Amino acid sequence: MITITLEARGTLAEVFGPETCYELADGATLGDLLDRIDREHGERLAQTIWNRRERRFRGPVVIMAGQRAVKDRATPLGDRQVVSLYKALVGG
Amino acid sequence: MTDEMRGYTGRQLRVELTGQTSRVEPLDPERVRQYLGGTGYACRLLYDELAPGADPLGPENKLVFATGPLCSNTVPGGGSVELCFKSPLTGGWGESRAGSDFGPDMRKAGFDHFIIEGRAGQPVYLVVQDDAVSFRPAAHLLGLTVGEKIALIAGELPPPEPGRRFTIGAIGPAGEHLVKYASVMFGDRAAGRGGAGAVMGAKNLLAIAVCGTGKVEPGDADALRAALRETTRTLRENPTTAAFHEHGTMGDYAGNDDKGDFPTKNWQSNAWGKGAELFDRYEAENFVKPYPCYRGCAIACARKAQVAAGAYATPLHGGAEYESMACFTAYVLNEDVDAAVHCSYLCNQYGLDTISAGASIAFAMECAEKGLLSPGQLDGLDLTWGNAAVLPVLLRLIAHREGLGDLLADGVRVAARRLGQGAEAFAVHVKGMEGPAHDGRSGKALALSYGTGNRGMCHIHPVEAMAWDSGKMDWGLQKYGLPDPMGVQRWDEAGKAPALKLLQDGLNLPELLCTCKFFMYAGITVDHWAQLLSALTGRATSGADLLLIAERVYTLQRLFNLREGFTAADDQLPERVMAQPAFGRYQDEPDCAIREYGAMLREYYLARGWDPETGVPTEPTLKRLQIT
Repeated sequence: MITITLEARGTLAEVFGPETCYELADGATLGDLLDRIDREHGERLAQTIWNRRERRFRGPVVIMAGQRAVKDRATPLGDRQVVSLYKALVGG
Repeated sequence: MTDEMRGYTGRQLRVELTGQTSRVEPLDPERVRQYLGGTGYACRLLYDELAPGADPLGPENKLVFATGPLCSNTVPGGGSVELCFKSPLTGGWGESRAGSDFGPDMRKAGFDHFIIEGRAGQPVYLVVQDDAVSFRPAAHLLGLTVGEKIALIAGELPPPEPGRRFTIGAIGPAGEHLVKYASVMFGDRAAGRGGAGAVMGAKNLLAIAVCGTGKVEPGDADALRAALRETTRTLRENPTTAAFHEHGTMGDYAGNDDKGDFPTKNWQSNAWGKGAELFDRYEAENFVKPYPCYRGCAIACARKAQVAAGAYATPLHGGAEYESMACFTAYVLNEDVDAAVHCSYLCNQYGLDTISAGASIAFAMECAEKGLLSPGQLDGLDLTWGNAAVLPVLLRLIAHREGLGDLLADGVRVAARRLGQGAEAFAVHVKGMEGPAHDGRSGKALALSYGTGNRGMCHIHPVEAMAWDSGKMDWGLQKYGLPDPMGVQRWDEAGKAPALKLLQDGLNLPELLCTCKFFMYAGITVDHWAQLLSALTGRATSGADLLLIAERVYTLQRLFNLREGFTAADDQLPERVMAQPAFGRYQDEPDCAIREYGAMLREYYLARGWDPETGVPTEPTLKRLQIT
């Protein structure tokens, strides 16, 4: 098993809490983390920032891992990795 | 080049259309020191040179194409141009920005500003190629769309050398017909709000083309390189950069619906409940790719969109941004995303502001529903809420001032006065400018910003109010006194005004410097701007210095409006935008309604050092700001 720390910043902290730890199977990917998020939060998020059908964030939510933005579900995650969620404010 | 003009070209081009003459003038150094450039310099110039009461569509009005010291393809957000004028829509201060190479190319041609005066006897377009200025006959362009005009002019102006071409700003049929919210288009990018296109049309000036070979030398090249490295690093590390690039302004379409920041059915509600569904459809079927609206943009948030087939088939084009899409969907209750993309495209081609156009149609739909439009006025049009098919028809009528379009072409304030019968209740505007697609019932700072905005109910300067109140952003302004947004309750009213003052000043700086505000959402702060400006000019300028200048400009724009007869009554909000929503997610949420607007306004006047009752800047304030 590996442990992933999910940080949520800005307004997303109100949804996820500022920091949550998830245990995932060895070799887990970003897709596995998103599936977990869907199981735990998907219904609540569905109308705003979460596309349940594709199990991905809708709109300007950026996933940062290792100081870079990631979105490929196949992105591998390592033990004790910190993954940050950031809801950017865009619009005009 | 004198030392005090480092970072500027130091010159402005004054064009007199009546006699078709032009002359080069030096910039006013005192005006530069006090007001920088962009909307600041232009406001001082127009305040000094325009007679009070000037007809916005008369030859006496002046149209300033303004740049600023950071207007450059190498500076973050520097691909900007500001158009400043007395607005035919509001009768007051008018400004409108576009992202484009036009501004940087003006500076390459050797000019910080173009000042357009008078009225040509026949339609013309203006060509500026370095110091050579010429007036070209343009009767053959009359009636053409923006795209057709620009293509023809580009064909008439061969590139002066390989790799160099003219950048062109043009009006469409709406500007020619003096629609009071006609835009000036720079390709697919619009200086949309307030009617700059009508001012240009009234001057018989159909387009301006510019090309230059010069370069503005920085005051301290080493410091500039260091400042650019720092801003580039900041942008690269900020997640918003990636988010803006990937999703553009449409990114928060669904989120705005969720948080009640989504005017629906002519502001009868602030939420629709269909935002997520429509956003998914747009991303899957209409959005094609992002692109930069000027060469060198590090964010490239603009959208290329299309409608591949069907009744609203639309070629690939730049457009379908958030405001346009929201105004042609939720605002008019239209669920057909293809139709909305098509309408955004049509507005760009007609040279119409998408926001005022969508808002005017929503107003007409409500008037039709309430029986305020006669069968003769409707002329067979079906203005039922959500009828997508009527939207493109109405846009054509507005752009050409035909039938019902003529009534709507002057904006909702004038249309409501003409209709009478209580139509004013459905006219959502402040100072004559129609409300955009953000809703003050999502956060009270936004409501106050709408009321006190110098150009009216615009979408630009209120955005930061929403972003602080409910989006929890601070732009590095906490060190200058902005309260931590995480401790702010969005529906509270007391205490918002001092923060709003700081937000209006701080986020107005891009308009003075001639950069893009979106870079401040991606981590660029007032202090970054100060660092860049100091390097460019070779004179030390602090963030506090910039905030003081921005406050001076905001106050001078206020004085411009007061001189035109505006009063505190013009800072009031329409009842409709303050009321509890009639339907939708927040209909049972009384706290989102605006309860004590008068108290908020008074608090705001005090924060600005204006008379708490009249909203007139006091003598001590004018003295502190050195406004004479």
